[in-house]
Amino acid sequence: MAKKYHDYDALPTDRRATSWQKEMPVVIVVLAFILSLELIARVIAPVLDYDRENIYAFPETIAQLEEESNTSGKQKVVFFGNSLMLHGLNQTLVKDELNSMKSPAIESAKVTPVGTAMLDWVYLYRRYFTDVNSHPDILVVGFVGHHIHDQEAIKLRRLARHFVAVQDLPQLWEKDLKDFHNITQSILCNISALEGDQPEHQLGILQTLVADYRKGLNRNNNLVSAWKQRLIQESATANGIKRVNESDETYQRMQRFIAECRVHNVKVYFVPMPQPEVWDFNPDAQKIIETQGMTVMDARNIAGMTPEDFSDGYHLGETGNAKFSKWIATQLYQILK
Amino acid sequence: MLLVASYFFYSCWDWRFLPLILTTTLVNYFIALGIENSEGKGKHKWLIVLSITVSLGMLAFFKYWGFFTESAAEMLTWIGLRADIQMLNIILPVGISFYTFQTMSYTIDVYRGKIKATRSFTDFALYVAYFPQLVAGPIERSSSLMPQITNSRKSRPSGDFSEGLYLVMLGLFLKVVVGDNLGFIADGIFAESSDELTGTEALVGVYCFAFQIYGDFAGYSSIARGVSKWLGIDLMTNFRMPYLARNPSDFWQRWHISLSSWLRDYLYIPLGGNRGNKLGVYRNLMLTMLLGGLWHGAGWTFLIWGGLHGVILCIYRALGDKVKLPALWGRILATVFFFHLVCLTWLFFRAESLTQAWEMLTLIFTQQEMTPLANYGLRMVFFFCTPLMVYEIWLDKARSLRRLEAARWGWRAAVYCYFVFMLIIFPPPVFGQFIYFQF
Repeated sequence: MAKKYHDYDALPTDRRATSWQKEMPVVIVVLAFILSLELIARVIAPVLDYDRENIYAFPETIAQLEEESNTSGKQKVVFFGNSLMLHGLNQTLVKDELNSMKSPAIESAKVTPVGTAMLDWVYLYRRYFTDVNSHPDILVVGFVGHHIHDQEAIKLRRLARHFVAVQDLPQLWEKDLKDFHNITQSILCNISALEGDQPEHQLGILQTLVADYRKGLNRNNNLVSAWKQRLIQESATANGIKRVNESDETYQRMQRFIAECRVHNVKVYFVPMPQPEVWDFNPDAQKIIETQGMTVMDARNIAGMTPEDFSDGYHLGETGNAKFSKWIATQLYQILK
Repeated sequence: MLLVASYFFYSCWDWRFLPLILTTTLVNYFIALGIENSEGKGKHKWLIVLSITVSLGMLAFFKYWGFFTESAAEMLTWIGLRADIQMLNIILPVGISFYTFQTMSYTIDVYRGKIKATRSFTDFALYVAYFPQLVAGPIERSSSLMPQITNSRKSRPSGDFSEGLYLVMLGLFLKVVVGDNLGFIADGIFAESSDELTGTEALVGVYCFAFQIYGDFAGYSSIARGVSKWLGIDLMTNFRMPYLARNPSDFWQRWHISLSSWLRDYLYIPLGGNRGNKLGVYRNLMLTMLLGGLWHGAGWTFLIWGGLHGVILCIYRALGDKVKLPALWGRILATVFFFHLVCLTWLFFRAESLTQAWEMLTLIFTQQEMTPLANYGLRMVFFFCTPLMVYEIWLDKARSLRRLEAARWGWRAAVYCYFVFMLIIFPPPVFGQFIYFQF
């Protein structure tokens, strides 16, 4: 009797703890609750945010491209990459420019999920370009330095949920995510929208309820990240480990991506994208691309491009978009003519 | 089977330390038998001293060698002598402080004649290495755990499943949702240079750490107890709503109960406890708390943390009875005041150095300014902790940790649904290692 003896470990009444049979309704309600959450997550997933809207449109975009190309007989060009290509390229302008150059016309589409890199692209391509006739004739991949070398998954949940097909999960575990935590999480995210889109659900709720959430979180992220870098550096100094530099970067995933495209006779053009300042493109990467029979179309230093052509110091703005689109059209003309 | 599972569990962290736990087990097993099988106080004393020397010796080597040599070198340099002490980079075996204290309590209890030494080596080995509580407690007593290992567990009460489920659910919520989410914010604030922090940010960092360490440690204890229930073994309660404590004495009956009661029974009382004159009692309190601080880690910040709690206990002992507060508001005021006092001691516990602790403390009292980081941190504390604290007040009013188990099943289902929702939607950005694994 808790009240009498102040025994915090006792039940507050004379009742005994329920048996497992009597506890089953509780377990069933919790399971039903989880299933309901999953159902809701699946229903709202396609409209959860701009990124999801974009991703859920891929099958239709690719099918439409295939259909238009079958009807018109024109070559299929897919502009591939992330937000750099998404905001940087105007397809109508490219087509108009090709038209004015009397170039053979093209059918084109953009597959540009934001915040992605080579790890996402390897699996995204395998998942969405499944039909024999869906493969483009030309694949134009826009990137800056850190997008193409091998690195940790930036958004593991999204990768597992939206880019990796179920049949590719074993490949993901074998080649890319080898530890237990990542393997478990990738399975959960692949089968569950609730798990796979969890960061967006969390963001939505906390942004509504917590003032200064974005600002505070960003500062905290920067502090934790700087602290971890400091710890890594201290540990590396103590253990005599040298820092990873450009020449240590590896490109296994890019090679797999190219190999996948080659199987389907896709000609890949890698485009180092323009930035306010010309950036160093690792010559090793260029060598690998060219050895594998693909081409680099270097857009880092387009004539007439200025820092004012960028909307936020990273993505191309309206004027930059026009300049880049015209430049791409000129490059495509050389290929198509 | 449980023993094999326990050794497998321990070796998952680092199999090279298996011989260490085996040595502790063997030494204490044979010494306890030696005490039981021999006669003569002198021999018993010699054996218990040997047991304590071996147990504390290993703990001292693995945990405190670096701290003592470093401190000695600094002191020698400070007085102008050239110090050339060899520093060893020793890895701290996980859970060493927990299983050392648990093993010591067994041998001391045999020495005191409170329990009989067990003949079964496997039973004793399981007592030392029982996996749910091996690496972070609760620090069990032989009088409670040994009979449960030795005797059949077939006739257990029928409520083990539901109680275990409750404890595991609560533990996961405390660890993953409260501890790890607020730990991420505390990590950021404590990583920032004091020049760049405002006092409000520092204060929020301390609040976050207070709930991080509570969520992390109480969460682990709760999961360990829940899993153990499913295996048919009762482990002791380690936390009882500690932030609802109204005074230091109350706090130490609610926080890390298995350690505080261990220190009381095997250190404070043998030192003299409450017996003797006032100064003697204060000395006993200070010594116990300083050693309690040192148990947590080899560092001056831990020592100061223990010392501060010692001072608070002494002051309470001297003045506690003289301060009378009106009933309800007095209790609320005392709880809020004491929570903040505990938070200030956490500042020393968490800080990387005494300098950082002092700088942050100064900032808290001199420069209050709400910034986006402070606002975000404070609201996150409210978001994650308000439901928890409301729930704990509800439990405390009934003076039972098991009030929810006695409620209608619908209420339990609703609370579990909340736990599950929070666990799925609000996992931390980075999963934190259990803080107490390092102690």
